[in-house]
Amino acid sequence: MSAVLPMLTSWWCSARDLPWEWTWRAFPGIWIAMLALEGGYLWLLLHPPATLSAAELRDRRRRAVFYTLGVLTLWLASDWPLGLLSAGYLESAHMLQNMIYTLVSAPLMIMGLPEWMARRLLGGRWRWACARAVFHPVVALAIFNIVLVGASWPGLLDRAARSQGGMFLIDALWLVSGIILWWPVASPIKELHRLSYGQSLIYIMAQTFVPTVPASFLTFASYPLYSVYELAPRVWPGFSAVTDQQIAGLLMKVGGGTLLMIIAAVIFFRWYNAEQEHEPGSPELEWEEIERELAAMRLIKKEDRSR
Amino acid sequence: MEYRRGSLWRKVVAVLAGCLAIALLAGCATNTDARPASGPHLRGVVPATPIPKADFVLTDTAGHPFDFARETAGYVTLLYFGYTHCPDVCPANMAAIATALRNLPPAVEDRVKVVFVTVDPERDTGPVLREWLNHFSYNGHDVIGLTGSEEEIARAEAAFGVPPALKEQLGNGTYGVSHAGYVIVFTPDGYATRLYPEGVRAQDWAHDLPLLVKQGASNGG
Repeated sequence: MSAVLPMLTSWWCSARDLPWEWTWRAFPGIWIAMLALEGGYLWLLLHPPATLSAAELRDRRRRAVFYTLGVLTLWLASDWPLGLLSAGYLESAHMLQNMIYTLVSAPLMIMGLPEWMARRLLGGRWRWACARAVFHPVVALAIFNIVLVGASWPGLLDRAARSQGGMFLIDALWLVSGIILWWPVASPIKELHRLSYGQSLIYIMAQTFVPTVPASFLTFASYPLYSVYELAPRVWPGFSAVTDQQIAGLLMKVGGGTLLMIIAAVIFFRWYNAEQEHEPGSPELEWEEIERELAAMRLIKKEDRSR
Repeated sequence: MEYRRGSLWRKVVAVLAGCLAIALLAGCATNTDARPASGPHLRGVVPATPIPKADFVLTDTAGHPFDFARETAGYVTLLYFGYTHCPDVCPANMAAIATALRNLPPAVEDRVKVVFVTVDPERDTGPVLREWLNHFSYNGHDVIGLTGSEEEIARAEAAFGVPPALKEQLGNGTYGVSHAGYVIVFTPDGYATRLYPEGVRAQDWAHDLPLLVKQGASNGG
């Protein structure tokens, strides 16, 4: 048993003869990754195809805002302090990080992709075929929930947490699965499985079921499930690993469910507004018709516009 | 086409029957997780020789003398040498023990005493020790905290063969104390037949403590 702890403590300050403290520390690898994501996107955005319409060119600013917000939230969730706490100290921090990756960063980054950029990234026979397979709504739901259950499996997470590479892999899995999950809802390419408003609502409702299972285990377990978080130095005295785990479970179910409902509400109101704009039976009124009616009622003198 | 369909059906049935046969044979295999019939399988580490419960007197958190051997006679006793400023091992060990005891029935927790002896008496005064140990109370039971002079504590460590604690300057005006990170568990017969090193989880304690209490009861403890 004592051989386990050296592997688990490779992340911890005490393993490097450093006292536990809250002071900021640098993670240059994360900065480089964020700069690469943002820099690559901006380069593509500033080098559009020559065939773009004026409207598409104007739309780039709006898209850039969404994408940059996505990368910003990704950075906040990955860097100190949340990234550090998530990697080796608190299960609740790890859950919050995963939720930001999958429910905030991923959809924002997809919304930041204009159609022409998405086509350029997914161009090529094999990439397109892979995208068509992976982004099918049923497949996307299945992939995300397999990652959700698998990455929450104690044996797998404990093993991954022994190294920085392992935790990076887990984090990358969460982000990629989040992109796969939200693609059918926010796809910039219509023929690549973009769902209608109603279908999106059903899709989001379907996603609320599976997280209940791991969330229940986390919330109601009497003992800590993950050795990495159970044996970690306590961040606050008295904040036990069981309490931390219960908070993680509540975050997954209540927090995640709330975010999904907010997104569903936004989609619903957008659907409502779209239906209102295109309601059949109410043709748009033009000024010439109003002028004719008023002239027929002798309320105005209709001008002869032929002169 | 009828004969092809029938032929395919026979193949499917044959494959399913083969799978069933394999499953049944696998079920007949030896269960490698079966406990040995000779006794309970405890998860602690067995010391080279059983450690007798030595007699020493230290001061509890209320300032009263505490005779270790007399006050813990007849109980399963968990003895741990640590300190409240410990960044990792001590709170992890104490939390694991507390989590296990909070989930065990009264029949078990009432027969267990947890004793924490500080190896940092300079900072761990009675009130400091009490406040820290209160985080690890379980269902109305408190962890017993003991302090004393450095010589008294060193003698207590030596009585159980525990390596003496050593102060280490951390360079920022504070110090750490390197100490043995294992829990010594005494059964009611007055001997420690199990040591629990750092890294033991709450589920391990929850597995072993009822067995230790039962073992003590059956030995007339």
